[in-house]
Amino acid sequence: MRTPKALQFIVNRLHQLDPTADALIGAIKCTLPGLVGLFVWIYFRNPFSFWIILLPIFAIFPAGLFPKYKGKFCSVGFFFFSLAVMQFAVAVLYIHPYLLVFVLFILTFIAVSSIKYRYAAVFAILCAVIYIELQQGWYNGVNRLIGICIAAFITVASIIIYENIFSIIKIRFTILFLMELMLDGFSVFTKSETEEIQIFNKYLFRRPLSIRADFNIEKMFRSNREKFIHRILMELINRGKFIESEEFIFKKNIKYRDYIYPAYILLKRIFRDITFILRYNIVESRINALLPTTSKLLENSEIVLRNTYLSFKNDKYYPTLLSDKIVNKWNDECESLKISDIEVEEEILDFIYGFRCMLSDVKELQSILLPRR
Amino acid sequence: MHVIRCKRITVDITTQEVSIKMLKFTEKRLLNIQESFCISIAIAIGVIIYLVFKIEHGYWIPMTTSIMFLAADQGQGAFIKKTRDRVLGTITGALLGFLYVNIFMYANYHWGYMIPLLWFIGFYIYYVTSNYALLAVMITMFVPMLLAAFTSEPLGIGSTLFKRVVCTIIGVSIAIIAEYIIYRRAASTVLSMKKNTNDFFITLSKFIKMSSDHFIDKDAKPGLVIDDSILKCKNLNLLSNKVALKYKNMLQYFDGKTDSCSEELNLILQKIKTSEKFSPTYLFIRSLYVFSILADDLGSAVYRKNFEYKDFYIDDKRYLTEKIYK
Repeated sequence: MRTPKALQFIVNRLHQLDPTADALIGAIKCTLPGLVGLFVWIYFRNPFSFWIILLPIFAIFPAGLFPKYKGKFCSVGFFFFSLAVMQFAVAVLYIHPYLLVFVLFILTFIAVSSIKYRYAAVFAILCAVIYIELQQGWYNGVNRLIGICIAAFITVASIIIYENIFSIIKIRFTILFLMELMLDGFSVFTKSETEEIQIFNKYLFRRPLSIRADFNIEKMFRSNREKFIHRILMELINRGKFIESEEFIFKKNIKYRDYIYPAYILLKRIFRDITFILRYNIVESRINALLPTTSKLLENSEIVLRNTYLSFKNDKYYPTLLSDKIVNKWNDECESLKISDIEVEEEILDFIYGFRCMLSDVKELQSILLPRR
Repeated sequence: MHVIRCKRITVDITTQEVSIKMLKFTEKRLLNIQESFCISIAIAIGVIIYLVFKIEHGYWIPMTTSIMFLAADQGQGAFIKKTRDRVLGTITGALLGFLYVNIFMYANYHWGYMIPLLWFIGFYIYYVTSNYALLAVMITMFVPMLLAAFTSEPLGIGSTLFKRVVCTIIGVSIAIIAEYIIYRRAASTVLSMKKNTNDFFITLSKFIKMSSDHFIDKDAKPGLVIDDSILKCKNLNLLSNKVALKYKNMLQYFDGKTDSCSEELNLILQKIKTSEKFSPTYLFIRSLYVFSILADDLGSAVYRKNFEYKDFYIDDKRYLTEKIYK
């Protein structure tokens, strides 16, 4: 069945805005605890206890800043403990406003003094001041304490559910995106400006309402190609950090991470190799004169890279082997150049080194990503 | 000389370095206490105004103040921009929330079921754009919507909205005044600029260190060294560590510090024969050299205060060639 054009347009646009689905999964992460809270509230129907919907949403925000479970749970615990103490103080001391202000000041000061959990503390204060408006007294204080305990339980459950459902999806999307960037980088630096280039992420970082001060540094670059590689490198540095740092508790996620981690490191290494061929265009004619097989090898490599990406993406077999004949011929040409007395430019040396490294790294990448197929 | 023993590593540091670290630590703690005091005072003032003047829906004042401080851990500096975002976000969020309640939810309660979807869409847009104003819109917008869904108290668009907007403005003003008076350094961008610059160069230093660690593997790849008489693995390691350290302490170079790292690397480069230029080690040393001279030039340009972009075109072949073969 063919996808309607309008739907395809929307999907493409969304992919362009959010290539690794980080925003989509992040939004689900923020909505999920609220929804779980809503179902709990609908079941119990306890009057004025809508807090069990709102609190998990507020608690999950600061918890998301921590990659390890210990940090996440500590942040959740800190948020709910601060909130519980503050709301109880409000409920009990409401008849002594001056004492209430003093106690709130002390509690706020203690809570925000922790640099690590300050974000959680400010969210707790935000909720605690709304409690001042509600009905007060010992009974209500204890009632709300129970609500806070339920909300804490929902938050912890949501964090675990989130990991179980979305971790593999997130990792897979990130690896696919890095492969797209690798292909984009390779295509941009091995083709002249007049040639038609197929680029996956042409509008990298161009998002509505998004203001980025770090683009100012792009004044340093002379051509659009260099600006593009700068953006790709920024993505490479920032994307996928969670693969290294995030802690997983489910076996399937740990297993998948262990399987994908070498590929993730290799992708970064391939990028290092591609940056060596950054100035290929400047010396293209000279390289072709010294190493005539280069253009053929580049074409072949692009097909291989594209097929490796497609094989991983579609879970299908595509031919992913470099032609041995071309590779051997190119290696022979390099060897003969090495023993000759011809003075070779720096760019050509960079290119040869980078390309050799890339060939071996791509082989390694294929051995990791493709054996399952 | 002090020897600090951690779980895995042993680091030697001088007494002077210890005292600098202690000073920095104390300064950091003082700033932290100052900021905590600022937040607590601002919220306490908001609560006092609410309780003393018995303002209807006055809890909106300390609530807005705390929303304003949500960006407190996102680093100080760029104060005006962040404040503008927060004020704009809070007021827009309150307006949108009240409009949704009055136009849709009071007309037909089924619109209340759309709240999770709106929440989802809002956060999706926020995560795509990373625009802080949108986060403030989202958080503020849902307070009136949830209040309307779960309480019997009517939220009129006229007087109630007006009162809350006034409370929002008071809350925002308290936060701004507190930040300006108590936590003055928040208004200065110098601190965060210094920190961010330092972070940037520390990241570069890590990259160089990481490349060296992967490249110079004493046991596995002894063949990488060009000629034992020119350079041993150990020396190469020392040199790359020197360049990494240079980037790590870049701020000191901005204050006029110099070293002989570039000269040492240049001497090694000159000793390498033309036929050995195919070796990856040559390329590695050359890259280290380029990094080193870039750091020297950048450091001296900042020190002399005559920095210009055109001095530092990354891919200016002439610039690099001149520097390498001078």
